[in-house]
Amino acid sequence: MKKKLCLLIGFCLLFTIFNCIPCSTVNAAKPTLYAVTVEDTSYDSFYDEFSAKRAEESIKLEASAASSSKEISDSVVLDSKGDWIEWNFDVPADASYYLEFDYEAVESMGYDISLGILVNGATPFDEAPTLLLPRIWEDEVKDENKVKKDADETRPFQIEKVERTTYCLQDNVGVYNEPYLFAFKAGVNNLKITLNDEALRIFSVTLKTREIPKTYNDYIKSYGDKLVENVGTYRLEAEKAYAKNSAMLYPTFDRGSAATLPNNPLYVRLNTIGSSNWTKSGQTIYWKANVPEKGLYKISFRARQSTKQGLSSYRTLKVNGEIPFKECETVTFEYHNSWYIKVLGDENPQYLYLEPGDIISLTCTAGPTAEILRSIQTSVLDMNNLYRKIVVITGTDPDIYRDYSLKSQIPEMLDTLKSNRDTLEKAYKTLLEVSGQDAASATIINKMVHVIDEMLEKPNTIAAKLTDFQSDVQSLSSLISTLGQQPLELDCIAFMGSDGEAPKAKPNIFESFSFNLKKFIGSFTTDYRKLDIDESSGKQPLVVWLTAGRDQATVTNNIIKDLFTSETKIPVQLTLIDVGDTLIKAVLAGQGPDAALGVGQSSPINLAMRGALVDLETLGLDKETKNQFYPSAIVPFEYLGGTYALPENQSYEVLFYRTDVFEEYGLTVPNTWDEFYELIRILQNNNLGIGIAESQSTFNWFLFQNGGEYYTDNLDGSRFDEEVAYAAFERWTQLYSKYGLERAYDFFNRFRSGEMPIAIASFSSYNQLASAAPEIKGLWKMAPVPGTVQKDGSISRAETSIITGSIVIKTGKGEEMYKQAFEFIKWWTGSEAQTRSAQDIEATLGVAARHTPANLAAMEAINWTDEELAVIKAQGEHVKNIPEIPGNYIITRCLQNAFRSTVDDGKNARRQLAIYDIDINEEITRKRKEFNLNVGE
Amino acid sequence: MAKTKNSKSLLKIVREKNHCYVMLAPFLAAFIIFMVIPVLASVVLSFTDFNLLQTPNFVGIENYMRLLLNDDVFIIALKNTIVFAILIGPIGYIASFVVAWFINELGPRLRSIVTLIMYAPALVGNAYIIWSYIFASDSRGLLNTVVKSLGISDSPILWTTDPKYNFTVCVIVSIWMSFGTGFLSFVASFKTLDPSFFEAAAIDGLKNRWQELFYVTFPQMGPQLLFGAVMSISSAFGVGAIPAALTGNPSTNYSTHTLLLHISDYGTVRFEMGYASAIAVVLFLIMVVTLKVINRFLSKFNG
Repeated sequence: MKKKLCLLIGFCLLFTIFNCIPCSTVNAAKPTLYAVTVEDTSYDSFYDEFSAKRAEESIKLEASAASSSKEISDSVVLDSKGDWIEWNFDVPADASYYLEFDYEAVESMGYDISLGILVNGATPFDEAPTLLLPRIWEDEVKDENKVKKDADETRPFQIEKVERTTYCLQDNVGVYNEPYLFAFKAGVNNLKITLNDEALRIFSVTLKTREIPKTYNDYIKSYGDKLVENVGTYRLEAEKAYAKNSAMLYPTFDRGSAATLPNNPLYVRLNTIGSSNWTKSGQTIYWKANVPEKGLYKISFRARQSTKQGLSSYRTLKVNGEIPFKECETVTFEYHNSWYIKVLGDENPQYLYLEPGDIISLTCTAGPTAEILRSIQTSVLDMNNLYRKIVVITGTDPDIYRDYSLKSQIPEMLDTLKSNRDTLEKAYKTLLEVSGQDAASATIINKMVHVIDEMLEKPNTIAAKLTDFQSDVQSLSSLISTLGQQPLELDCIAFMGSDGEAPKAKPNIFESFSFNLKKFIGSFTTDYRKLDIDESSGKQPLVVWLTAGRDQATVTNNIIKDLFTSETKIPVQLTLIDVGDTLIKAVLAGQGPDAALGVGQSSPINLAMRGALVDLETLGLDKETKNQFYPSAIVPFEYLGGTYALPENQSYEVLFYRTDVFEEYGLTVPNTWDEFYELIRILQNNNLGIGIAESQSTFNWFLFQNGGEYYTDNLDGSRFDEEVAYAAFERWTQLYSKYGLERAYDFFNRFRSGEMPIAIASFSSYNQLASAAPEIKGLWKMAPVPGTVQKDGSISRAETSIITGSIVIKTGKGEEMYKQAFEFIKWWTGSEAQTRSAQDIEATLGVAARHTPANLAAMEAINWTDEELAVIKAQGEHVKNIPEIPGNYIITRCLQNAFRSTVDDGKNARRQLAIYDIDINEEITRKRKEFNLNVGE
Repeated sequence: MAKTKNSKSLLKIVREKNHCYVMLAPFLAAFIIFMVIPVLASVVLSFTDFNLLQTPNFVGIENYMRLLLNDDVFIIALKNTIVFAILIGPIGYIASFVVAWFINELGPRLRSIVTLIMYAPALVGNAYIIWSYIFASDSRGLLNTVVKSLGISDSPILWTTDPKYNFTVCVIVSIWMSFGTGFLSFVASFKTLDPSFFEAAAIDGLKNRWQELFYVTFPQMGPQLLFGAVMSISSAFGVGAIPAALTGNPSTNYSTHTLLLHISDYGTVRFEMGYASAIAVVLFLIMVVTLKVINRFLSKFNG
């Protein structure tokens, strides 16, 4: 028995030793890439240094004393890209200042004004080249007579209020609770401001110090402590703002509570402001407080903050641009799942001295959470870096039975973990303290701490816990964007004198019951699909169907009323319908619309070959209209010499890459596929991923870049029997069989963690990365997709795109109506409407909803940086689309089947394509016969 | 539809029992408009080349010729449908019955809770979507994680796209979904059984629960058994939404293609409504025949 045990142990030992030897040799054999340390020049890295030496006194730089590329008077107008203004001035001692601009926005495209700052000829920190100054907006004034009592109230347009204003340059992620600091040295300094986008008039720039407001006691002393008498309550409806510094701060509505005023059980009444849009640091709403007489008032807000679970939102309260006393710097709005009344000063109400016509404002601020966020953000970046270092050794799927001896390979690993653990624990404690509630949404921090604890306890299990670790870091980084947001919805602000009464937070049970009963009954009779229409001309309206979100539809409807109906006097009845299947059924039943917008790529020709659409060529489609788009964008809408749709949106794929990872490993962006294959080798050696979807578009690159085609010239059959098609198919399948790329992956999360530092994805992924991944802001870029070198030395980057179009439907209403419908879609896909639509949607819904118009002029008008636009344009010119032909659905299926049987079952690629090509041609022939078209031999 | 034995004319019967027909009228109207007419219309359309938008032309039995002689995918879909029906129909049926029988033994409160749990998937409708999360192809998918941690496979298994697995996946999910109306009727009918029969049988010398099931329970439950069978068969032949949602439409090499998906493929993707109608007619006939057979089989319990 003992003998056996000894033998067994001995065997085990031997086995372990043997196992270890090849292990280390494998690691040694890898081509090691020496990691370069990248110098961190983000604002964050300078913040402590800057904030340590604050200036004593402000310095005002007048525009009249500046030198500029433009004409100087008491102010300077910068209105085209590259315009600059600079000052040379004396600073008494080494110190850091805020930069406060005294400016007026000049009418331009309607985005925030983007400026670059140079201090003494150098960029002070990474963020400085693109800093934003907001424009000031107000609601359009509606014609009272036109407002219908029995219809939903529509959101007023946000129009620019040209007004002189002051603003300190600041970040809007919410990680600093004060504006950006800029360091100047003692002696003569130079400050140069360059315009990137938009236009503005600068009056002066002030190098500002931090002002410490008075205490409440000092404040109240100067006014006595008696409230105004006999004025009752002055209720200011929050949605009736005087101005705001973001077009996203339009009036919103709440239909849930009978106490939110004004309200109507059947129709939408705009009765609140803020909602989910008022979240970014620096966003400000101004109100004109027409209090009955001057004096002290008690202030209360009817507010709702129900999105940030267990955590508070913060606002800075100002009166006429000044913070009246210390407590107004951060007014806390606690989390509560319904409406509540917030009294300034809470249990010990604090009074505010107001005069009729005073402007009061609330500004989003990160408040006490800023510092916590900053530490979490640093931590996330740190741990992602560590994760990447570990992955390089273990791969994303570590073998849990293997000891990778990570401790000796990454000596700093345990220290990094330890310090981050402490940072996070401290962050969590502070967060609980400041929120004073059970911070439900922040428990992930606590979980992360536990995971790290376990790792520290048993360092040899780190590899096994890697997946958990990674997913927690991911949740932590989503937490940053949640925490950085300061959502708040306001119904009203009440100013109360001594006899005033606060508004009610909740309606009583009877009010509530009758309100909800009316709402329920009303839901049977109200048509929610139709949007408001301007019928003043009395003409028969053009019926237009649209597939989009409700907000997009509202914006579209506003633009139509504003630009189309007012010009042409043709009223448009816009209806929100999922166009897909419904359209065909409606056309069949003779109930179809006159035009439809946002129709998917394959629908127009499917409808057209069955005679349901009007050929736009017969309605006078000219070259000029077509030239607004890439020629490739029209291709999928052409059939037998006719054109059946105009392109609306177009998106195609570009390459996304992480600049920090590329820099770290000394990699360059692949220009051709040969370089790409080389990159695959290097990245895979380091266990990093490459994201290329297994979709057909990958096949298209290889096919089109080598001069292949889908169909014969007269579109009666495929050309997959050519060598170039076989080769393309083979290369497509090899990416997954030979190179072993992953076929299913989560682009967004793996890209942001850096384990997949390069991926090809639709350029609309930009929206997601720009809006939802703040921690890698500035660490990624786009580039054109890899190309193939042509015989003449040029590089072809041909690829296909995804397009939606607008169509005119053959309703049988006659030529006159078709002409009108054509006029409409021509206007809609034109540059004016598309630019406006893209701007309005981005202004109201944020960059996450960024539009990608097919119209070239509109595409350029969008708020891309020059670099981004250059990439998008460079790629766009290479786009090549496939004509839509009868029966082309068979291609996708057959290619997919051929692909899967090659990659999954290891069959011969060329043979599979040849087999499926027979099916493809059979179906195309059969379909051509159905439509009485010529059939190839 | 049984013919009257004496030779009274239909009109006469109607006149005699007019009050019955008045009561029947609303349902009959709805039934004719929403059931009979569409079925007849699809029979008519199956002889045309209707493409959803233009006036159909009569093409004779061309659709049927092509369907039966020259459509490989139809054969695959037919095979899949029959296999689905054989696996899901009886298994779902028997499982529903056994579970209902078991539930009947529980106390009233527990019984309603268990009934709800079992019926919930069918009640919620699209609940099968959660399985796509379980069977995700991602290497971090739920089942793939388990498979990997058990060391069964190193690389992620493409559960829903690999023809080796996706049919089984669909069968499992379909059975999970099959506790529908038939199940409820079983649960309810157990409550209607006459307890005196069981007493009598016990006195007569019943040996065990199986005998009780076969000699007492079944004969009393004839109509419900038939109802359950009809529901189960029709749902088994109507499988389509589940494979389409889980494995894509069409799936790899049509490995989970069913007749219903074939109909929607031709009807909504290829715009060949005439041909789609022909498939529907064939499916209809298959179901009618199957139900006849089942009816005959269950007739001994049906009095």
